[in-house]
Amino acid sequence: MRLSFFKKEFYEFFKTYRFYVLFGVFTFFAVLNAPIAKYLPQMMQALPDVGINIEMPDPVMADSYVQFISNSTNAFFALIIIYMGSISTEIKKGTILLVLSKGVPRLDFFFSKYLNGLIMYTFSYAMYTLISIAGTWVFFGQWYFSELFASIISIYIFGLILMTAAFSASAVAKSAGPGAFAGFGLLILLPLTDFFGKAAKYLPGHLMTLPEKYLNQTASTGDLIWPAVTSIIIISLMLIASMVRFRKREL
Amino acid sequence: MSIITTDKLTKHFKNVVAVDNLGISVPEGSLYGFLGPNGAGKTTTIKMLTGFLKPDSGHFMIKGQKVNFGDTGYMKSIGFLPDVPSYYKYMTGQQFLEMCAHFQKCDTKGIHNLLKNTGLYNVKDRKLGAYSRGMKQRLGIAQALVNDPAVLILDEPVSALDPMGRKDILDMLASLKGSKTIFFSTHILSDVERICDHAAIINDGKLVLEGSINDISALGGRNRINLEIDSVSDTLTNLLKEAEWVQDFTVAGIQYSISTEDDKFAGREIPRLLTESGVVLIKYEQSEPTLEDIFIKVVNG
Repeated sequence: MRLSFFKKEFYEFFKTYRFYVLFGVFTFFAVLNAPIAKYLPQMMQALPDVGINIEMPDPVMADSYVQFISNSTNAFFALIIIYMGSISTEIKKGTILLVLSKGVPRLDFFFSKYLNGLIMYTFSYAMYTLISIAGTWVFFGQWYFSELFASIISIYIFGLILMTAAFSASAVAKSAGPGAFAGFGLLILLPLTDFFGKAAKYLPGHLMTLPEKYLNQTASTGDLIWPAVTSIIIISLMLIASMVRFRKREL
Repeated sequence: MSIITTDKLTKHFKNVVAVDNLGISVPEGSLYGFLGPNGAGKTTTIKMLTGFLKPDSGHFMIKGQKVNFGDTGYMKSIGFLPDVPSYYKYMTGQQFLEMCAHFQKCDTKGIHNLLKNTGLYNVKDRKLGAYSRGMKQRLGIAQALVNDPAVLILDEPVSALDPMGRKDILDMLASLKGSKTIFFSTHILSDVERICDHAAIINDGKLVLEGSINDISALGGRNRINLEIDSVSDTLTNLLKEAEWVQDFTVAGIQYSISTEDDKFAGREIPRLLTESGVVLIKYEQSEPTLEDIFIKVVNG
């Protein structure tokens, strides 16, 4: 791979503030996770009396991780928005022409963008995780449960599918719209595959239900293997198909 | 020897034939003007030559090597400027040129001179988002030259420039004549007349004329004499109709445009006809056929 283009892409993430937006959104939700879990019952009780008596149990550490799971979905909105125009925007603006005319192979162009995206997502997600764990420890005095690591990996892979879908669509589409459609479409549809009976435990949709099962101690680390393998296959297929199409694409 | 040749190059967009069996031959070291009206297929041809569009049929060769869609190796010897160059707005002019040099694994030492030669040295640290259209066009020329290519392929390189900017860039291209082959598309005929030694004219995707500027100029045929007299004169019109040395002529009030193959004879006869008609000569102008005349003639069939 041509390192000069990889470096340009890396630099661009900071110069165009995309990294700061992504990192900022993940950090924002990470900071909120534990305090929301801790004070949600009190906040609910402080609401005006509307005649409905809501009984909230005392908050526990698991509530912080429930927030961690649900807020990761919110952060994935930003992830999709940032990657949905990765390549299509360069094509639409015409900046791609000068880059490719300098002999940068399309393969390098494609994978430099993807790998940089992967690095930015991984770093942002890692910080999201660390801040959430730190918050849990601060507000609940404990942070560890036996399947914590599997939960973290499970959500990470789910985000990776969404990011890859948005990115891959951007390599074959004329605008950012199909990238958004692919990313948000999967964000909505994939969890529905968890209703596919016995097949569900092999499908990527299972990645977003496993973490709660881990919290309830109704699943084991081994349950992650099949949806993870299926997801990695889907990610690879999306990348290969879009890369092949992009190499033949007229600009 | 030809450095760029195309053979039956054809490209369709749905049912529209953008380029139709195009066969051109660009001599090495030439400054080659690629002329055509808007929508003639100039940009499509250039995009095929630079690997952004795949020909439906036919092929082209650069430096004697047949190029297939997807090849990138040949781009090392090419500098390319698209019709509307777009840049990364957060970069400065110097950073952009350095990036181009790094992409092509070439030295960055020449960038200083490129910035000076294109008149961008004083704005080299300005963000590209703040560059004017003219500056962007100049930077486009600079980036095309960054790897010191043997061939420059430029799509409408001066169309966005003001007259001074146009002159500067054309002078710069003219100074490269001989050391590089410059293939540039334009619809500004005077630019081609001014600096090119070869040209091709395409219309509706088809090649209608190609050759050296001298050969093309020779196709223009007869010279024209333009007269302006003090008052409308039927006598002069009748005398011109009877004159054997007049090939054809047009009258618009007090203005005459006369076509002849013998300028000298006409120069002697016209004063006599004016005296016989009793009119006063206001203006006498003799012109050779311009590339514009030829262009209009061939494009209109």
